[in-house]
Amino acid sequence: MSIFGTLASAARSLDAQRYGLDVTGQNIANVNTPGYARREALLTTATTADQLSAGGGVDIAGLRSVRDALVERRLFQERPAMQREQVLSETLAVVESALGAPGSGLDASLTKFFDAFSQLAEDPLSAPARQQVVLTGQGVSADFRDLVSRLSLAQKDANNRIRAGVDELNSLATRIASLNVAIGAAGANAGQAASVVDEQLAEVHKLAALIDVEVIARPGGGVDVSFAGGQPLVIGERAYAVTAVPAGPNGFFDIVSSGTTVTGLVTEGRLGGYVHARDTAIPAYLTDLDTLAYTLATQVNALHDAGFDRSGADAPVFFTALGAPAGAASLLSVNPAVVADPNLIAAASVAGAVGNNQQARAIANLRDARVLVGGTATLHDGWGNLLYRVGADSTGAKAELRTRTEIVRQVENLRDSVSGVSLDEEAMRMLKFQRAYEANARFFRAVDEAIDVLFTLKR
Amino acid sequence: MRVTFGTTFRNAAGELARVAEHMAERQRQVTSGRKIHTVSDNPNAALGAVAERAEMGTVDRYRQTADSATARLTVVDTVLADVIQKIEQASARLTVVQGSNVSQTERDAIVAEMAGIRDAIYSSMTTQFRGAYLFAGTDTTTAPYTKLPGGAVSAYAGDTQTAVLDVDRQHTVQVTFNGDAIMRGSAAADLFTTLETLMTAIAASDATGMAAGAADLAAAHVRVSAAQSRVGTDLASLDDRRAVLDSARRAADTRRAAYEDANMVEAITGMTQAETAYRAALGATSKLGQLSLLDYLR
Repeated sequence: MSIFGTLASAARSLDAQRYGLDVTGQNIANVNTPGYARREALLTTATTADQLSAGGGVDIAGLRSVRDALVERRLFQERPAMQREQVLSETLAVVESALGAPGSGLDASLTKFFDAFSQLAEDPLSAPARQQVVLTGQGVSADFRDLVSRLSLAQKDANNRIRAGVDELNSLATRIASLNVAIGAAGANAGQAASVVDEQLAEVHKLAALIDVEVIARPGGGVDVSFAGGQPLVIGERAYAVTAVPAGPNGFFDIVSSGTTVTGLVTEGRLGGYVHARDTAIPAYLTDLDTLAYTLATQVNALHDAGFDRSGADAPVFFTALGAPAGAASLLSVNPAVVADPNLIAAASVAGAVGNNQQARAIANLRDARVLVGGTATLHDGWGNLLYRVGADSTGAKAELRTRTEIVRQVENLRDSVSGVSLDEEAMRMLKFQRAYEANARFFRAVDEAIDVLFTLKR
Repeated sequence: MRVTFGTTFRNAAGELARVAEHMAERQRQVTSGRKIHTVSDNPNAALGAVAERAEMGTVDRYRQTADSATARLTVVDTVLADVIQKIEQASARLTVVQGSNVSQTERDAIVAEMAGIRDAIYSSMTTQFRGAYLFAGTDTTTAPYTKLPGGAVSAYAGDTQTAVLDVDRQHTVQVTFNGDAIMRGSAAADLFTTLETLMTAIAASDATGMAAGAADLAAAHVRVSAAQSRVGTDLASLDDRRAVLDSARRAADTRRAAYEDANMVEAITGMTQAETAYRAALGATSKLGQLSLLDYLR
C-alpha cells in the first residue's frame, strides 16, 4: 500500500469512529423515545490484496437495531389482555357507581315499599298510608327504570367507543401498510430503515392495545398483521378496511372486515373489553334486573289482584301487568288507575271488610318470601346477588389488570434489557469512539508528517 | 440483565402508583369510617351488608308495628277494664236491690243507674282508634252497636272476623275485636239485652228475673275478663317481643358494622404504615439517576 493509501485508510478510520459517535448520539437522543431500539454501529476490518499492506483499516458495515423478536411478540400478546382488563375495570366501575352502595340503592326502595304496605296493614282506612303505598311503588319503579337507564348508558358508551376504536384501527392499519412501503423504499439507508421499523413497531403496539393481533415479519422487512382469528388487517402495502356496522334490535355496531363479521374474534385489547362489557357483562346485569322487576311485579300483582279495595270491590293489579321478564325493569310502573285513586289499593282479602288487612300483610310479608332462584332467594337477596356479581366482576377485572400490568411491565423491562438505551453504556461508547477518533487523528497526522518527510527528500 | 434508566423509572413509577393507591384507600377509610365504598372493595361484605340492612329494615318495621299494636291494645285494655268495672257496678247495685227492704223509689233509682251503666258500656264498645271501631270485627267503619229510640242498644252490627298485625316473623297480635263475642259469646242475649231485661225485672221487683240477670251478668263478667286477659297477655308479649326485636336489631347492626365499618385503630395504623411506605418510595425514587458515568467523564 502506498503512503497515500495509508492516509486514506486513516481517513476512513476517522469516518468510522465519527459514525460510532454519531450512533451513540442518536441513542442518547432517543433514550426516552417509546419503541426506540438502541442502535449499534457495525464496523468491520477493511481488507486489501496488497501484500505490502497490513490491512485496509476499518469499514462501516452498517447499522443494527438491537431487538429480540420473541420479546416483541410477547408484548403483542400481553398488551391486548392488559388493555381489555383496563377497559373492563373502568366500565364496571361506572356500573358499580350506578348500582350504589348497600342501603342506598334499590334495596332501600324495596324496604320502603314493603314498609308502606305494613303501615297500610296497621290502618287500612288511612288515606295517607294508601298514598304512601302509591309513592313508594312509584319510587321503586323509578329506581328500576333509572338503573336500566344508567346501565344502558354504559352499554351505549361502550358501543360508541367500539365505533371510535374501529376508526383508530383503520388509521393504524393504513399507517402500518404505508410504513411497509417506506421500509422497502429505505433500502440501503440503514439509519432511515431502522427509524421506519421503530415507527412501524410503535404503530403495531398501538394496534395491539386495541385488539389481539397476529404479527408476521415479512421477508423483505415490514410486517403483515391479522386479527387473532386470521382475518387479514395488513398484508404488505394493503390495509383491509374494517367497518362498524349497526346490527340487531339495539343497533349496536358489529365489527366487519372484508364482509365478514369479526366481532366474536375481538376478545382482547380495548375493543375486546368494550365488546365484552357491551355484549356480555352489562346484558347479564340487565337480565338480573329484569328478573327482579318481573318477580316483584308478578308477586305483588298476584296478591293485589286477589284482594279487595277500600270500597270492597275487586282490586286491580298494582303494577302495570308485564308480559315477560325481558325488559321488565324498564317497563315497571304503578297501575295508573291505582295512582289516580289510591282507594283501589287492596288491603283486604274479604269483600266489604274495610278493616281487613290480610292482603296488605301478605304483600308486606313478600319482603321475606323466597320467590327468586327457584324459591331460594328473597327480592333483597336478588339485589344483593346482583351487587355481588357486579362487585366480583369488577374486583376480578381489577385483580386481572394488576396481574396483566405487572406482566407487561416485566416484558417491557425484558425488552429494555435488550433494546433499551443505557446512558452508562452510551457514555462508555462515547468515550471509546472519542478515544479511537483521537488516536486515528494522531495516526493521520503521523502519516501526514511522513508524507512531509518524503517531500523534503526532493529539495 | 441490563438495567436501563427506562427500566428503573418504569418500576419506580409503578411502585409509586401502587403505594399511593394503598395510602389513598387507607386515608379514605379513616376519613369516612367505612371500609366499603364501592361493592368491588369487598363483594362478599357488600352481599352481607345488603342482607343485614334488609334484616334491620324488617326488624325496624316490626318494632314500629309492635308500638302501634301496643297503643291500640292499651286502649282496648282500658275499655275492657272499664266494661268490667261497669259490670261489677251493676252486679253490686243488683245485690242491693235484691234485698228485702227496697222501696219502689229506690228500685227506680237503681234502674236509672243501670241505664247509665248500659250507656257507659255502649260508649266503651263503640270506641274508635284512628277512626276505626275497635269492637266491630273487620267492619271497622260500621258502629258495632247503635242506640235505639228509648235508649236501648241495637244488636251487634259488626262482623265476626278480626284483624291481626305482624309483630315478628312468627308472631301476630289481634288488633280488632268481635264485639259480639265479648258482649254475648255463646249466651242467648248480649250484655245490653241482659241489662234491659234486668232493668225491667228490678222495676217490677221480679226476684226470678233479677236472679237470672245476676247469673247473666256473672257470665258477661267472665267473658269480658277473659277478653281483657287475652289483651293483657298480648300486651305483655309485645313487651317481650320489643325486647327480642331490639336485641335482633343490635345484632344485625353489629354484623352490618363488621361488614361495612372500618376498625379505626386498624385503619389509622394502616394509614400510618402506608404513609411511611409512600415516603420511602418517594425518597428512593428521588435518588434515581443521581449517579451516572457521565458525571465522571472529563
